[in-house]
Amino acid sequence: MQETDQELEEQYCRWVEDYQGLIFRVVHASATLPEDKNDLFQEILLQLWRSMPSFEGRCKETTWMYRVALNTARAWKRSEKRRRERHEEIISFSALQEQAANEPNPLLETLYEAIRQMPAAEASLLLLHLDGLSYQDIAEVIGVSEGCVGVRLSRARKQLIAKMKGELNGI
Amino acid sequence: MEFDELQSAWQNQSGSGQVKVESDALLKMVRRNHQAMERSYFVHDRILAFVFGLIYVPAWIWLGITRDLPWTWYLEIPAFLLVAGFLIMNRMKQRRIQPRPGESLRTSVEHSLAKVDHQIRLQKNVFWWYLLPPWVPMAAFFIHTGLLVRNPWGAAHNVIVSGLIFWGVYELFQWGVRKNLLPRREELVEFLESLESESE
Repeated sequence: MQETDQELEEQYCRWVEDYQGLIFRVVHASATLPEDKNDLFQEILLQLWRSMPSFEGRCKETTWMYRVALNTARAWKRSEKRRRERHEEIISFSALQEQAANEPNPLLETLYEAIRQMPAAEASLLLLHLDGLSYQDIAEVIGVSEGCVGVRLSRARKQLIAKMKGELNGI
Repeated sequence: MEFDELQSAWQNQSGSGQVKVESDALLKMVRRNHQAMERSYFVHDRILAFVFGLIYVPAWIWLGITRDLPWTWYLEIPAFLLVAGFLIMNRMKQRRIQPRPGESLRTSVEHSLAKVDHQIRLQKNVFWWYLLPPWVPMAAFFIHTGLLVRNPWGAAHNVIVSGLIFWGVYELFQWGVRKNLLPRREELVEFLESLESESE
């Protein structure tokens, strides 16, 4: 289905409005430093724009959003920052973060830290699982079978709990 | 501590989709950034053609004419053009195997791995496509001028020194493979294996 530029623009604005929380969580779980978070956030918004023409509705919108966000976070490299520094801020990441900081939650911060320390594949699976996606949806985002998702997740959950216990005992 | 407890805290977190988006400003910014990115790709793709076609080759010819150098001096020009052509073709190929943002994580990793493998192959074979083509005409020029001025030892010295410099460049490329590309490849293979295990 060919969409006009105006339709694509409207769709992009709606996606950014609807899914900024999703992007926020991916960014927060992937980068530690505030400037890196902002950089990754801008990059995901840009890649989302670039990906729009190839979205043909063969998968759910959320699946597409997770794919774009996770793939961008995975490929995000600090060495490319120089090029991106010339880019303008599309939406300030700090505005989103300020809202999250209004209600500081040590458990959540520890959870994000634990996810950042996990291997990349497990971290992606956990992020999707914590967001409440079904095994089928996770399998579609990742590109593996549901059986594989189940096995990998049960291990990743155990690892995460162990990490969280260790981190919280240290506080 | 139970996983459900973590999941509930996760799903109740704030900072989720509460910033009002100004559509016009958002589109203006994203379009501007997209154009800047496309422009940077465009410049990178053409900078090689520009450097070789408009600077190296004319400068080489100018030097040859003004210093009245022998014909072997001009043998370097096809080598320049060969290397430039190879580099441009390679950039085009790399753009084709680039991962796409909307593909599944596994496919994206597979594409990244193909790209890294391609770069490794390219840098491991740098001798054949990047170093040998300009070195052979350079050595021919040194030998030719050495014979013209009846100084074979001077010619041998120049050939050996240039060979050593080219060998240093080759080693630099191989160091780049060991330092950056092989660890990146290992990381990607590990990622892929961790996704694929028990997937069948």
